[in-house]
Amino acid sequence: MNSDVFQKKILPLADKLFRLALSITGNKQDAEDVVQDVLLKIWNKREIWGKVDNWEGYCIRSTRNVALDKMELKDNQQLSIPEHFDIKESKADIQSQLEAEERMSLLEQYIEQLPEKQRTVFLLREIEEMNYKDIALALNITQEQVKVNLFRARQKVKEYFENKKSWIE
Amino acid sequence: MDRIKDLLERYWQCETSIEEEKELQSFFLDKNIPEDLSSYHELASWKKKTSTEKLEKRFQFPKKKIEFYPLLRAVAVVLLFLTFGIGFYTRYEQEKKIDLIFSESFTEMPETTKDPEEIVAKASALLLLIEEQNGLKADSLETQE
Repeated sequence: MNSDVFQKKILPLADKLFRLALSITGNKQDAEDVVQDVLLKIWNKREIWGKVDNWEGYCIRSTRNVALDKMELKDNQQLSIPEHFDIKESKADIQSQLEAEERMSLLEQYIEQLPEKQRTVFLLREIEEMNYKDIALALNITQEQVKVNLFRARQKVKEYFENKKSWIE
Repeated sequence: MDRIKDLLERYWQCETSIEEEKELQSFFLDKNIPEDLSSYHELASWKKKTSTEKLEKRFQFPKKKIEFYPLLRAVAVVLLFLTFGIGFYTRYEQEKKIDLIFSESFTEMPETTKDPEEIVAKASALLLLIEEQNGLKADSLETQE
């Protein structure tokens, strides 16, 4: 089998897979391990190299599964915004931490607390700029489910900004 | 500005295209945005920062296993048989030669006596014979010294 498939179609996805793994594991080392595991599995399954049409979707799906396995979080609902994550408590921080980096870090923490599926859909759309169809194929869900998850994620981010604005005012 | 506000509203409702979302992104990345929209700069910054995250540790290819191709394998087997074959043949030939040498040179010793007195008698007789042949006597040898 031609190893060009691996070199030209799969390896270039590594950064994208790393960002996805990072958003699920929240840890660079774990994310690197996940990507290595996924790529190694594909490397060893040469019999499928000529059979997969949508490598992006295949790799995203594999990465998500491996990352979830690693985190023992197969149940997406386990990752939800915990009750203790109250942005209002951070009001003082927002006012004092005027540096953009710090404000962004707060937003980052908030996004990390979204339920896993919403967060993954949000990431694939916002960062990887994938259309609904490709996201649906990659995550093995319907386009409607993609839209619902993205809508919920965006609404939460919107709430974050609205709440923040009201505290500052 | 109305367009941006309209796009933003449609963005929250998931009604924007990827191109429109890119337009919003580049607008909010600009630091000179109106005060009432300034907080969305954070979202654009987060998107920019996250999209530049890269895998630092490149994929480690597994070490290649040594694969014997069928032809190479067959040659190895033939060489192995040849080596042992030549070894055994050489050894066989050597043993055959050694057997031949021994069978030609070896003659059984005749039965000899083990009686010491008889041996001494025979030896003395032999010495006398030598003396006679040489015209010498043991005594004369002693006197010459």
